[in-house]
Order: sequence, then structure tokens, then C-alpha cells
Amino acid sequence: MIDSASTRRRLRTGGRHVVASVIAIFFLVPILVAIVTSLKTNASALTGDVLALPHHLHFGSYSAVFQLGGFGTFAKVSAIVSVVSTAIQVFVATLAGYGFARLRFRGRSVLFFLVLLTLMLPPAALALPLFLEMLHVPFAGGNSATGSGGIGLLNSYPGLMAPYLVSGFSIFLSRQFFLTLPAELGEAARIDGCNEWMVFWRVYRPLATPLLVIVTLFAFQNAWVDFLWPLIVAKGPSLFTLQVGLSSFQQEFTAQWADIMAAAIIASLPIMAIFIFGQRYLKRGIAWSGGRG
Amino acid sequence: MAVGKARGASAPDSPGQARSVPAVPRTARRHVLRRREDSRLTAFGFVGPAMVLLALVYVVPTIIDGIYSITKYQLGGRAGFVGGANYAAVVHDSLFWQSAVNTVLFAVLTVGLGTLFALGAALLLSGTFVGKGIYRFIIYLPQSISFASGAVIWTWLYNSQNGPIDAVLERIGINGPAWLTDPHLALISIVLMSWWRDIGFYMVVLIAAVEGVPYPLIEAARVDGASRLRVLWNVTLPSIRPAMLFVVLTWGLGALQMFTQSYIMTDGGPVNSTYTIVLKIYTDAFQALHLGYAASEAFILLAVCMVIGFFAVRWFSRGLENP
Repeated sequence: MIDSASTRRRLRTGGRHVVASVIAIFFLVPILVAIVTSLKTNASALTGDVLALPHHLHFGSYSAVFQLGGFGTFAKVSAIVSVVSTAIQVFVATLAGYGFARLRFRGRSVLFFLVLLTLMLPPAALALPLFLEMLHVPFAGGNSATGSGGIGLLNSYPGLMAPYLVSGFSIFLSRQFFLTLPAELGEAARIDGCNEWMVFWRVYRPLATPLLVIVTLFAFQNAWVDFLWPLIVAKGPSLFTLQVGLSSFQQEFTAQWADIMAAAIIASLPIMAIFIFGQRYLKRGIAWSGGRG
Repeated sequence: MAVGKARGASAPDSPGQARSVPAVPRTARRHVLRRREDSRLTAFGFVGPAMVLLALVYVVPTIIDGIYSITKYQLGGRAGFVGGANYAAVVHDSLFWQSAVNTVLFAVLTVGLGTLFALGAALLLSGTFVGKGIYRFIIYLPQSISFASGAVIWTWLYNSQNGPIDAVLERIGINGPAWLTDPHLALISIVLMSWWRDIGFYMVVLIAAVEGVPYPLIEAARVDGASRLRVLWNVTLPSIRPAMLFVVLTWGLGALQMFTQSYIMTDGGPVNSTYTIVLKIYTDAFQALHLGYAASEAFILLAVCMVIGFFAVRWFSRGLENP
């Protein structure tokens, strides 16, 4: 009896490993193929044995991407847009999250409901009207006071960053986080004469490191991978982000698959790094948002 | 909560009333009033910046879109009022309808089956299973690849000239299909890529929910002699319903906005079989330059998402009241 039970358990575990391995192959192989292909020459990628590893590692594609493709500029644009917009979003969202969790003011529930509602608005459908809004910003990009005559904030860094400056999701996460911290800490500080800002900055912010890390990672990732918005706002390669640069590189250098794979890897490199170092935090953030419903 | 109390205490009074009540000492009265104003200003200081930015990035564009959708605005031209003419034209635009059908089909396939796969993976990789960490890591790994990179990588995988998938199939004697150039297959190929990119994320959501099911509940059912399947159906699934709804909703709204894959992998082809709503909006607005017309298409998508979202948010915000 005992024997057959343990055999059954061993069989079940074995079966689990088989199924899990098959699934893992589906998720892992595309990434491995991209890396291996990027280390071949363009010619051997297109005509050689696809399954064979390259005879010697060829890093030429990576330098070609920077020299031919202008990926240095794209990387700079992506970095500026992502870093600056993330800093602003984290500050704005944690402030608002604290306000919704710990301050009492009229209209709080309605405002918070509206924040949640913005989560349901489709950014891709809003890209066109946001484009028109940016086009007509007064006094920007040669515009008159009524917002016409020029290009407004199109083809500019502020224009590229606009949709990433705020996020209902970050506000939601921040509120949920601050609700978990005891209100008594703030009471004590208030009795000692702290105003609300000091309570937030000196008492709660130092306790909010996990939240700050999570919101930072999500905001950065979101700004980094966005495709549609920079595609319509940037008018030329000098303001292409890596995602847009990658797409135009692929269109220009069709069939140079080693170079294209190198470009695809470069375009995702920083978020791969975030992923490896920040996995713990990302997963916690996901669990916060969905797990508790 | 000092601020809250101060406001609560002074809430029924208007300043005029306060002046007519002599029983309240002058200094205390001023104190109460000052606190109340402070609190409103403070609240605006904390919540205001986010509200202003949300208005600029979400509310204003929504209004702008509504306005432009009833004009015949073309980039650089003047916006003339045309009433509902754009919407009437959209109804007769066969490419719009095909895009709508493609988009819904894509969303149903991706999210419907994808949620089941994500749930399966979550159940498989939770509980006591040695090595679950490494499998989770691998399944979640494509989250670290941008949509554009992923789309480019899969374009190569699907490539008909020496592309890895067909090359492997050929090795075992199968003539690989034309993944991205067969009109019956292209959308499915993009669904496959989207699963690869996104299942990991939703798996993590569901793992958190599955592992959050109180163990005594499962234990009790097991002791009562319920089979594993029964426990799954009668205990686990009902407990993770909120998380399931979150997954279907978030993923579904995302899928209705699919653009990057179609733009990079197929450009809407072959014979428009992968044209999506957002790709249609994009080409009408930025290639044909019919911005008014595109705005009306965008407004339709906006309205659909808002209706879905409104009910979902109402459902979610139950139980989110401040304690």
C-alpha cells in the first residue's frame, strides 16, 4: 500500500516535470533562437543550418546595429524618455496614493472611482486625440496663443513623455500600499506638530521602499516598451525610441536577420536587466494588483 | 486622524453660522476653520497633480476625440462640421468591419484560451513541486521582451526562407505552412506569439491567487474525501474568481487594442486578415490623413472599452472602500 502510494506520487511528479518542460520549451526557445541568430553572420542565418550553433561567435551584428542603424541615438532617446517620465510618475502617483489612502476630503470616493475608470480607457484609442492635443499646445513648437500654426509638442521630448507622466495603475497600487501601513504612525507625528507633507515625507515614505521600487519598475518598463505613441509623435530618427528604431531598421534591412535579431535584443536589454534583478518586486506588484481582486 | 476629525467637526457649519454661535470660543473657532481649509488645500496638494495630469492625458483627449469625430478634419486643413457623417461612413466601411471582426476574434482566441493555459500553468506550478521556480521564471521570461522585439523575433521564427520553425518541420519531413502569408493562418500565428509574450504575466497573477486560497479550506475538503478535481472545481476556482475576472478584463482590453504585432509582422495582411481596429485608426489618421474619420473609429473603440470598463470597475471597487 505504502509502496504503491509513493510510486503514484513519484509518477505524478514525473508527469508534472514532463508537462512543465514542454511548456518551458515554448517560452524559452524563441529567446534562445534570437540570441543564437544574432551571433551568426547575416549570410549564414539565411542560408546555413538553422539548428547549428555558429562556428565562432560573431559580434559584428551588434556593432553594425549601432553604426548602420543609429541605435546609439535611439538608446539615448529611450533612456531620457523612460527615466524622466518614470521619476515624475513615481512622485505624482505615490503622493496621490497617499492622499487617497490617508486624507479625508470631500469627493474622495468619486475621484478615486474616476482614477480606476481611466484604467479602462484604451491608450491606443486615445493616442490619436492626444496627438491632436499635443499638436495644439499654445506657444509650443511655433504655435500661436490659440495653439495653431506650428507643430506644438509633437516631435519633442515632452510630447514623447506625455502619456507616461501619470498612471491610474500606479496611483491604485500606491493607495493599496499606504492603506496597509498603520495610521497611528501619522497620528503620533501630527501630535508632535508635523504637517501632512512632513508626515508623508518623513514617516511614510521611508517605509514605502518596496512600493517605490515596484512603481518605478512598472513605469520604466511601460515607457520603454511602448510602440504606437512614439511611432506617431516622433517625426524623424533623431527622436525615435528603440522600439520605433527597431521597426524601421527591420523595414530597411529586410532579410539581414542576424542584424535584426541583434537589434531586437538591444531594444529589450534594459527591461531584461530589470526583469532579472527586479523579478521579486515585479511579482509582488502583480500579486498586489490582481491577487486580491 | 486629526485632519479628518477637524473637517468632520466643522462640516455642518458654514462660516456665517459659526459667527452667529457665541458659545464657541473665538480662538478655537478660528482654529477649526483654519484646519478645515488647510485640509482641503492639503488634499489638493497631494491628489491635485495626479488629477490634473490624468485630465490632460485621459479626459481632454476623450473630449477632443468626440469633437473631431463629427468633423471632416484633415491634417493641415480646416475642421468642418459634418455631424454624424463619419459614423454613417464607418458603418459602410467594409475594412472597418473586417478589422472589428479580426480584433474580436483575436481577443477571444488570445484571452479565452490563454486564460485557460495561464490557469493550467498556475495550478501546475503552485503547491509543493520541486523546481517550480525555474519553470515559472522561464514562462515569465518573455515579459522582459518588448512587443516590438517579440514581433520581430517571431517574424524570423515564422519566416518562410530558412525560418527556424519551418526548418525544423522540414527536418522531420513536414512541409511547413506559410505562417504569416496564409490568410487563414496569419491571425492564429499572431495569437501564438501573443500567448508567448503574455501568458507568464497572467500566470503570476493566478499563482498569487491560487496560493492565497486558505489551506484549511482545501484540507477540510480533502479530509471529507473530495477528489483533487472536485477541490479544484468547488474550492479553488470559486476562491480565485476575482483574480480570474481581473485577468480576463485586463487581457481582454489589451487585446482589443492590438497593434504592434500586426504592424510589424504582417502590416495587416495577407488580404487584410490581420487588420485590427487600432491599425485601421492608425492608417486612416496618419497615412490617409483623414483625422476626423479616424477619430470616429477611435471613439467607437473608446465607447466599447468604457462600457466594459465601467461595469468592471464598479464590480471591482466593491470592497475597496477605505477601512
